[in-house]
Amino acid sequence: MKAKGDQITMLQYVCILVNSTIGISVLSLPRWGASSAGTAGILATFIGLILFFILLLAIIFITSAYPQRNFFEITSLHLGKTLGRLISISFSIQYIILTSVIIREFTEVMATTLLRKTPLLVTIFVLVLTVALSTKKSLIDYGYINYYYFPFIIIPGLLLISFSLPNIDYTYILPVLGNEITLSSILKTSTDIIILPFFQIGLFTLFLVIPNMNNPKKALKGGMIGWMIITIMIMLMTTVTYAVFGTEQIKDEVWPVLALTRTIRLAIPPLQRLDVFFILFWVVTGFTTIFSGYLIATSFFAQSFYIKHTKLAYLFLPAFFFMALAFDNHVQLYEFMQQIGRITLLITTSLFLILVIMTLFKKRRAANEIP
Amino acid sequence: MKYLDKIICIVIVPCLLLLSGCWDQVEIELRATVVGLAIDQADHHEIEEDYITHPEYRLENIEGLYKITAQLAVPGQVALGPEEGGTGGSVDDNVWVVEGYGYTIGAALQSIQQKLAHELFFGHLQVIIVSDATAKEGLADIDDYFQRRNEIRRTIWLAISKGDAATTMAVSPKLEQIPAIYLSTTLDHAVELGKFPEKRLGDFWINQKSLGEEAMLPYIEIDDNNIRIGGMAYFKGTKLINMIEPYQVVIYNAVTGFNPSGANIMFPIEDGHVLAMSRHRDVDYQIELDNGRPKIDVHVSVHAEIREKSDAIELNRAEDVERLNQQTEKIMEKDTKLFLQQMQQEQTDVFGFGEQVRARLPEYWDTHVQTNTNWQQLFSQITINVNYDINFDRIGIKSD
Repeated sequence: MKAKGDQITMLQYVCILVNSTIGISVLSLPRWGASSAGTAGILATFIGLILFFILLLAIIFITSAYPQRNFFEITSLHLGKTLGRLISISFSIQYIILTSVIIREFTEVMATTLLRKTPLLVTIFVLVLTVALSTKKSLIDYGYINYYYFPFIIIPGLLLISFSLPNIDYTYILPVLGNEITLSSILKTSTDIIILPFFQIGLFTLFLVIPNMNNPKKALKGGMIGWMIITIMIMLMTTVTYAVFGTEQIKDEVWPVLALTRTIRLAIPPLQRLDVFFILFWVVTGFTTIFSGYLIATSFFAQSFYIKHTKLAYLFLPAFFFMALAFDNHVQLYEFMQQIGRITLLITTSLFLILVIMTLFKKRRAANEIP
Repeated sequence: MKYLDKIICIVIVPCLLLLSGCWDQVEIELRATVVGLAIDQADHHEIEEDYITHPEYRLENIEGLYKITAQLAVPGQVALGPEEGGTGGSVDDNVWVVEGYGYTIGAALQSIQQKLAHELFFGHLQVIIVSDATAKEGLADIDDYFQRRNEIRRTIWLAISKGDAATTMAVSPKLEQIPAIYLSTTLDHAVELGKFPEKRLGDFWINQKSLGEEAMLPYIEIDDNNIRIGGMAYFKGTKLINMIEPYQVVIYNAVTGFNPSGANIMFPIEDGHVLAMSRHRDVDYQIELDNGRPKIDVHVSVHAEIREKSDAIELNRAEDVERLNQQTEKIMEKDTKLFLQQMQQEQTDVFGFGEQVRARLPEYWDTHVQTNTNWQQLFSQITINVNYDINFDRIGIKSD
């Protein structure tokens, strides 16, 4: 059924997972933790990443039970074709919303840092068009594109962290358990972090990638490597941001990690304005996340009608474009992001729960039938 | 579908080439590049002649009165390389000074803009000088304006001037073509030479918001036609409280373990004196609860160099150096104690001991302290012991 060439290697799979998850939202990530949990925000982020890992394992479990089946086929198998189609389409809509939120976040960052006078309309349009053009390609190209961009995300990220190291103050990350905070509110903060759309986009790329892997048995290994890279990058960035600014200053920054680049000072004159260089890094991380989200939305819709996702690339463009335009400012955007993220994560986890339970039952039944 | 791709490419590629940067493109000559800002207090009369952001009636609940002097770099006048004999212009040719008045920082800057053809550009801002009188009223307005604007770097200097800020900024020594750049270079080098800690604009914001630390800023004054660094100005919240002397800044650097060091201190010993320069500092804090109160032990170890000594002091034998180590330690401990007592009386913790307590004794902090105000009160009552371990490991090439 599938062409030989249309297969993704484990390395590409790791790259896709990492690139999709490390997105433009990392810029605001420390603020969520700091404002509701203080210094315990770092711990909350780590707990969030563990929750992310559990969801990741759930997807790997669900997909590996039926190798080579896509999301629609798996849900149809478990819940029937009509319900399967309904779920696929509603998830497609969900990812249009989540991706549009990221698109808008990306353009907000651009509008405040680089393109101050460029109308948002134009920035959003060019971005959506670029992503749509990329979505015209097959999944194998998706693998290659992410493979290519991987170093452009990891290396500048590590550079940013190492340049910031001279400015850190360890007292700002202590105490690990926070001041005046209970364990339950730390956990609540972790859920506030995990509902950020980029985590969910990173998660669902697995539904696209695992069925198309050349060796699906490596799904678990790849997932673990990917998760480890994500955890190291996000934890390092969060911790360094906390250690440089302290929680009180982070609360005052819309994008604390972006402000981090403005505190770096190198003695070499052409490198004094490093923030411009790092904007490039954010463009790449933003692009890969938005690309994945766009691909998820189009693929899920296409799957449920047995067509190729490439056919829907331009058709979906207006939906993303107008959805991203719908916000007035970043305050409103972040409020909406929290609300929609909470709802979608609830839907996602309950679906996973159903699918995991059903997979378990089917496995047991299959095991019982064989002897 | 293939055709559609081609069409899209035909549309998007020219768009990317032609449109990108179109909106945001600004020619460098068409920018009013601000290199320095001086913020002073104005009087009502001056503002009344210059307001533009509001009609006359909307003034009741605004309290600030600002006079801002902007130093703009004149494009084309500033030579990039070393100045060649006679061709470089004087300071008056290189910079252009514009004044504006307003009830807020933004309003005053807008009134400067009103007098200029080109848009003010803050991307190359080097230094903001605030007069001590303005700083005593609080820097909250200044913080808000400059933190909100993205193009302003966090690594620029915010300095407090003794007296008028505008005249301080106008002081034009011979070394640099632009006074504001000379000022920021002075401050940069002061940090490298260990004269004072690195407290830039971004650090000021961080310290000021920290629950257990108060902010400090460099304090400068005019000395003839030069800028003299007169110590550090310390704050409580956003309000300026007082200054600390340059020798106290050295103690501050020692207690916080700031490097690079390089400060010179004169020690009166027996019947002579020794001038010592610190080379490297290390600091270790020990914080514990003692009778229900935090007790802080600070252990500072300094590697120092002897720069000068009077005839009466002998330094020929190892035991002489050892004795000198102990004598200087005693003097430093005494001076530090006095300095700490002064700050404790003022209830201003510029050292960040509160942050240490918050980080290391979270339970105590949660039950007894919680806020910055509580900490400042508690700070004046706690015991802080500082002991020094000074080691003269460089004596110089003179043998006695």
